[in-house]
Amino acid sequence: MAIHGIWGVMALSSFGVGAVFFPEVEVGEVNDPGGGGGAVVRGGAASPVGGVVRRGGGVSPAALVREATVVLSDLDIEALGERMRTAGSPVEKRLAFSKLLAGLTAENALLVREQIADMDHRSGEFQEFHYAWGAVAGAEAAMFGADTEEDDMSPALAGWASADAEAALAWFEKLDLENNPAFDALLKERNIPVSDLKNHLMGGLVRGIAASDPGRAAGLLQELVEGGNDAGYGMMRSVVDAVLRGGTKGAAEWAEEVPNEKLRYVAMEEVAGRMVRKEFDEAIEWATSVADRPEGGGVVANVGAAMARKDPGGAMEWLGGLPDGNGKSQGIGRAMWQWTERDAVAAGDYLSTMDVGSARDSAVGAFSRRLAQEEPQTAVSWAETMEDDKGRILALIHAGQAWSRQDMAGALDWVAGSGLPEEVQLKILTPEEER
Amino acid sequence: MRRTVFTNVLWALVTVGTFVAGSKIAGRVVERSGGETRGVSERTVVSSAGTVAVDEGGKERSGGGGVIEPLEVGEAGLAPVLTVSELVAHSRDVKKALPLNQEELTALVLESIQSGDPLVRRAAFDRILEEMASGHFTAEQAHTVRGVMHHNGATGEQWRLFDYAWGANSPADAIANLEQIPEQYLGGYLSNMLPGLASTHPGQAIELFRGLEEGLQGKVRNRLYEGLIDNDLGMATDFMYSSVDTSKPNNWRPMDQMAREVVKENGIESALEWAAELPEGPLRGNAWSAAYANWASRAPEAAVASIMEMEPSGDRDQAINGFVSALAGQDGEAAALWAGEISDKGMREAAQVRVGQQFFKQDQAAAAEWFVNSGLPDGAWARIAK
Repeated sequence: MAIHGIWGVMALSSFGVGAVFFPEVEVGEVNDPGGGGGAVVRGGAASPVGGVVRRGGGVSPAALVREATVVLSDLDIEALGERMRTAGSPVEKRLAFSKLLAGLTAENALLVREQIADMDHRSGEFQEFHYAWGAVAGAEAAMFGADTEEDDMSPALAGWASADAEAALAWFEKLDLENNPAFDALLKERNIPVSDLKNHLMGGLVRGIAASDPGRAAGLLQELVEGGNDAGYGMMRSVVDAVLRGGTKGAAEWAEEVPNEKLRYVAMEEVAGRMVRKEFDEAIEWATSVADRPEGGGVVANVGAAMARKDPGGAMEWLGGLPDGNGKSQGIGRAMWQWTERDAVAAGDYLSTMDVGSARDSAVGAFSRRLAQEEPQTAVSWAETMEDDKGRILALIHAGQAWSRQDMAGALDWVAGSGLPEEVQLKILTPEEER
Repeated sequence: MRRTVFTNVLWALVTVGTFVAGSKIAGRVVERSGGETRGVSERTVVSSAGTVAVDEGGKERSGGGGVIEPLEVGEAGLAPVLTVSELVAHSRDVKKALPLNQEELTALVLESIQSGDPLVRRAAFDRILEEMASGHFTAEQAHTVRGVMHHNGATGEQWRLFDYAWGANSPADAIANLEQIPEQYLGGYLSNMLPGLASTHPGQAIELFRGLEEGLQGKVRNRLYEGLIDNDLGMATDFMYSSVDTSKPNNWRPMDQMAREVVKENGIESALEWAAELPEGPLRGNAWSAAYANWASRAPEAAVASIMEMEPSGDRDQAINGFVSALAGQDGEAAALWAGEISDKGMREAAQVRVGQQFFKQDQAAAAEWFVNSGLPDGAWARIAK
């Protein structure tokens, strides 16, 4: 009897445990997602979520974030949209929008889009929506943008490429913009050149691929530029953006390994531009280490210019100590330009202390170019002291043209006695209108 | 012996059966998705739709979400399904849920900054916001998050949301943090935190605001209004009336700021309804004027249509006053003509001079021609043409 008693108690306890701690659940009515009932949430094939499962040796953020699939009815969508528009708290607005994104499907996308239709197309939410739509609906999301005024094709393609790069790229490669009437609004009514549109769409794809595989994105750009399309250099910036999210040091190392030389230059320059804003000492260290490399020119230039904003004399001293090369020349040019803008007298005084050579020529060239707008005669005088013939001629043309615009008679007098070649004199005396 | 074994096996089966029965009876029907079943091999935790904040009276305000208890896979391997209301109800049990530890918070912040996927970044930061509203978010957790955000380049928008949420959900900690904020960040921190604080704890926000030096008050006043309006427009209006010295003739800026916030938060129609209910006086005029200035900058045709439907009145004068202020920068001539419609002489002339200055910058000859028939005294031209 005792054994039956014990088992009886265990059976009853087991019933209670099942009821309290492990209930099976069912979908309820969808009514108000605004704070009461509403959207059905289904637990998907998700990882354990934080606060419950502790893992030794590192945390996966994905495991901490809600992974449930949200199913939204039309009423839910409209209610969330209303909450997004009317909630006072920016946190409430954000979470309502996040819920819309979580429940976004190919079927309900248009209704969700209606909820954000009044938003600026440049806003983060607008872009994120189209990204999310692209990720779930691919070509359908991308092609929707062909008929709209807003810039929504690019983020949709980015989203698609982030979810399925192969499919997105295959679609793009087969795209015949000129002969597809879906693009008439963009090409014929808005007169966007075919190549510009194609590059714009490619930019979206690159951005999406770069989010998870910057190396692959850089590879695509390498094919693009080696095929003669220079737009790839501009697109490199979005790849660098993705890499920079992991920190500037890692980005610098990554940029140095980009196979194509010109793309490598762009990548390194872009990283340097960000690095100087956040890790200035690291930027100087990096620039010093790459100054002797051709692709280090942009790095040195960015760092030199940034340094010159705080300490122009210090910047010139640092640049003067670097090995000769494109980077040093560019850096000196940008630093001297900055200095001249702020204090032309001090900049000129410093030039007087420089030894003749390529560094001085770079400095004088920048000084003359910057000064020409206000004091063309002084700019001409300085340009005449440059050692390198080619550089001197270019600087004299620039300063001389500025002189001609301000005082043609004076410029004529000077040119007549300058000894400059005739074609150079003609260029000086027939300046183009300043933009 | 055999009988004992048999008995035990039988009871074991009964025990398992009662467990399943309890689970089924207490739970809900499992949904089948598209005729397929989905299995979950791991425990799944799902967070709810919104945050839960607690106000000064201990009353909860609906908002965001919290972490809820994990749900196990149903018997048939089907994923558990809950309605949002059930999730919100679960989220109110957050005290039972484990708070995110330092490592987890750090991982989430880094993900919210570093992930290349904007949706992943969003989800990670949302999780932090939900944790902040969970009721067990501590000062230590907040400092962990802020430290990681600071060292890893969090965006301005992330700072704004974090500080807002901190002020709204953990007012004591957020206020205490003022003593630790470096001077150069104080204004920015207050701009972010004060509206959150005001949205849930208006009394504390007002007290904090009144303790600030005047220059800083001027910088964050509209942010205070934003939060007070989020909480209750009537209370925000009362604060306005109690804090502005209407005996100073040019003290229009506070009400102007407030009116613009009301338009921004509640829309132009609500703002006009609110302005119409204000007591007569200079503040009402300021509100009316500011609301129409804002409307004119967004939808000038609608603003004009509204003015044209108004009977001549002080309100109409203020509406035109605000309207022409916004219009003058784009179309000085039209603004000058409209300014002439103001019935109150003093207000009309002041408005005409103000818009006339803009008109003069745009077209000196046309402005001179307009001035001749404007009704303004000759001496006014010197102020317009300076």
